[in-house]
Amino acid sequence: MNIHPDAQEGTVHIGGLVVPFYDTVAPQDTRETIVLVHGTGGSAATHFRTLYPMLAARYRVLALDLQTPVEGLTLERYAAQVAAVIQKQVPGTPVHLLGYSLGALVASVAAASQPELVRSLSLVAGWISADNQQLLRNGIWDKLFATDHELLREFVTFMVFGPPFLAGRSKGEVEQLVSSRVFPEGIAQQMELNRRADIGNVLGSIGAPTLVIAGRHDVMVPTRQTQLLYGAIPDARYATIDSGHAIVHERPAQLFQIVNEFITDPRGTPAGLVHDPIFV
Amino acid sequence: MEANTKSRVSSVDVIIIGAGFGGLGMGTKLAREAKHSFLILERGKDVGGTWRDNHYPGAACDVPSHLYSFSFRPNPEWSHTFAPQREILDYMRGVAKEEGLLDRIVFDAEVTDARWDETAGGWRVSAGGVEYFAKNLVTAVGHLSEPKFPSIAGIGDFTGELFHSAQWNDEVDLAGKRVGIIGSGATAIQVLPEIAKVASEVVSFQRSAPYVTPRPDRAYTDAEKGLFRKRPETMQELREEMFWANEERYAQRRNTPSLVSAAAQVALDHLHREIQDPVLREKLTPDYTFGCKRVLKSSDYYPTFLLGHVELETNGIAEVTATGIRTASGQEHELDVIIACTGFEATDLPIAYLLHGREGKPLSDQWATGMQAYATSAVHGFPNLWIINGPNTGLGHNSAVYIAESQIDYIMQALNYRDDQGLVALEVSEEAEEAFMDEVDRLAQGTVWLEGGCKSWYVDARNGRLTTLWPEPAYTFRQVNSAFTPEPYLEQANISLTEPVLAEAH
Ligand SMILES: Cc1cc2nc3c(=O)[nH]c(=O)nc-3n(C[C@H](O)[C@H](O)[C@H](O)COP(=O)(O)OP(=O)(O)OC[C@H]3O[C@@H](n4cnc5c(N)ncnc54)[C@H](O)[C@@H]3O)c2cc1C
Repeated sequence: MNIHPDAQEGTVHIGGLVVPFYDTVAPQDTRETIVLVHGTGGSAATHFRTLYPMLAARYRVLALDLQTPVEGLTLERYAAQVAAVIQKQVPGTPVHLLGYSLGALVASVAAASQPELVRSLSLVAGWISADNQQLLRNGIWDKLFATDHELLREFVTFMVFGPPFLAGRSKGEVEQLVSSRVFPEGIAQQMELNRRADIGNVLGSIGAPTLVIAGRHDVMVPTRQTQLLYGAIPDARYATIDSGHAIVHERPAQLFQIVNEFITDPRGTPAGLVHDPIFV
Repeated sequence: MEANTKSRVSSVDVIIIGAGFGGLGMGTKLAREAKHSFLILERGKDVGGTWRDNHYPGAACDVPSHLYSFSFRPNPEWSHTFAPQREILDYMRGVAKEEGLLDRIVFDAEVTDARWDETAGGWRVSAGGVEYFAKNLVTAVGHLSEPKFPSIAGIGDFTGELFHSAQWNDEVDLAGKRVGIIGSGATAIQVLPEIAKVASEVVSFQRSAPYVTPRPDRAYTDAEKGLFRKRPETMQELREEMFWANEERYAQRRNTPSLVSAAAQVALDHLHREIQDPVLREKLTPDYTFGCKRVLKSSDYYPTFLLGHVELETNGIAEVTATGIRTASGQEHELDVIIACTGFEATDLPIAYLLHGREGKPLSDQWATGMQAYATSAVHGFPNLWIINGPNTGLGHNSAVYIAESQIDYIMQALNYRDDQGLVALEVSEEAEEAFMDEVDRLAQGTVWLEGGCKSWYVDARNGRLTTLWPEPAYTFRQVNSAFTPEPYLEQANISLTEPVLAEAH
């Protein structure tokens, strides 16, 4: 089903691939644009099904489905897809760029290489380069992907959600989370990219005001990692959400509010700020 | 002598009308800050408001209790995710007692008139035969506190017992009785399963089938409660989880077909799991857009219709007779008791008829085509009046207490600003109020309430506007409506009333 009633679908051709995007563009709409970049194994519709409509009430929203080449996947190739979509849809106007998980690495590379496109950068559950804990998980994933998708579904569900989130679901809901998990085409290449990606050398050159968002219970990208991201980007702020890695799924409403507050006035808060938790 | 003492204490900085969540929250903040003298006028004999009145069998909240309670008074003792009425009432009584509010509450004090006195610079309030004066007036009379009876032919002719769910008649023993329940809203779905346990026959008169999702209720374990007591921050974490989960449901109301249908599917799956009979299923299937009306939560509502002595009547009520109810199709249901679960007056607030502003005209005149307020709590022409849980404060998806707390924050800042600046009157400008409402209108566009073909109490029939509901997430309510700024208020520099005049007023 369509990601949003106002979303128009289009494609851009780049690097021999056809990249689909979903844009709420409307003739009279002068609102600022936010561009959403999904993560490993996801798509615009699966990772942003709740965030997209929430943002669409305030912003022009543009999300794309990253396309994975059969060979030679790099962050740069993904970042080029992001840039191409922005240049096609919103030429000449810098956008608010948000990346989730692997998408955060892609967005970082895009922001570093084409700063003129980016007005602000929101990095959700991103990291710089995989450490031992992440490599171990990635290795298990690899073995299960080759041998046992049933078990892999359970393993990924176990890893991706925060313990409090899982504990709060009914048995049926957890089963549903396991059984609904799919492994789309290109996921193995993406996992391989997860393993070797390293954005350490580009972060210092990111000039856009940046918000780094971490999941407090994230075991796939522990806060140890998101904090390094925050440490590396000069003009970065840091916010934590009580969530596992699946922030977009566990806490989309809170994510929306934090991002919305940030992009309303990206430099309204000083670089280095660590946000207080939101008291409700 | 008695009257004398009363009239001496009856001149205060702030009068609050109502001792429900709104009034008790306001009172707690004033008491803790200890800068203003205040009184709470309550027409009932107890605190609790909604939770004092709605003591029908099965009454419980449908926002989880750790969220549906004051953030500044967490309660480790909640027995269940959704606490029953009695527990909520006890919690509120506890707040009143422990925050020292009982001395400030006047019970049996129904406010019958409240007038802005321009010369004295404050409000003259009549309640329970006593005249009060306060510089500031805060109404916290609720938006679901006036029972609405259905206008059905012959309703006065019934010779059995007839009462509204919010005026439950405890004298009537329902055991072995034939009971008719009118309505199928939030109250009816809580009442029906309980009544079916004791009555000999139950007929549920349904005009429109609600969406009902399962209610994941459970008891908290001793371990959990112990942890909440020892480490209150774990309660706060739970509260946040509940809050953001509810906020997520807001996205469903934003008229996004994929989310609306996914959410509707949860309700329909629930119906299909519980009800196999195609005819009954059909009758219980809603015919309007999901989210248009309040989405209800119950795990025992549907199964109740499977009981042999429970009947679902969808043919519409033609009239009430001396002995029962006749439907539009001519069928007679003989009944001993009729319970109207027909909801509350929501778009036309009775308190508006009692409040008279600067020009002496009642607020109900100003609101004749729909209620409105700046930042949901200030009204032009009504200086120093603050409304809690008035226009645009209803939520389809989250806790009303969170909303009230946001307004209370705003009002506290306004009261302190007025004091600090030495102002007599703080009155919002008409322009600011209109601009605010335009903004609310703008936000409401694209929501399910205006575009889903909804016909419910959310929309005021008189102007087609969303006047009861806040069209955005609850968090946004707090962002927009909890921080006081003086700009929208009229310049009061030319008013030179002095405090001695106030003192002489009584
Ligand atoms: C059955 C039921 C279940 C509900 N469940 C939920 C829920 O789960 N979650 C949720 O968020 N909301 C729920 N609500 C909505 C509920 O009304 C609010 O959450 C909240 O209790 C409102 O508090 P209040 O203080 O504004 O008003 P009320 O609780 O209505 O209190 C108003 C008080 O003002 C007094 N009063 C009125 N007029 C006068 C007068 N003229 N003079 C003196 N005193 C006066 C009344 O006697 C009353 O005590 C429910 C409502 C009902 C009816």
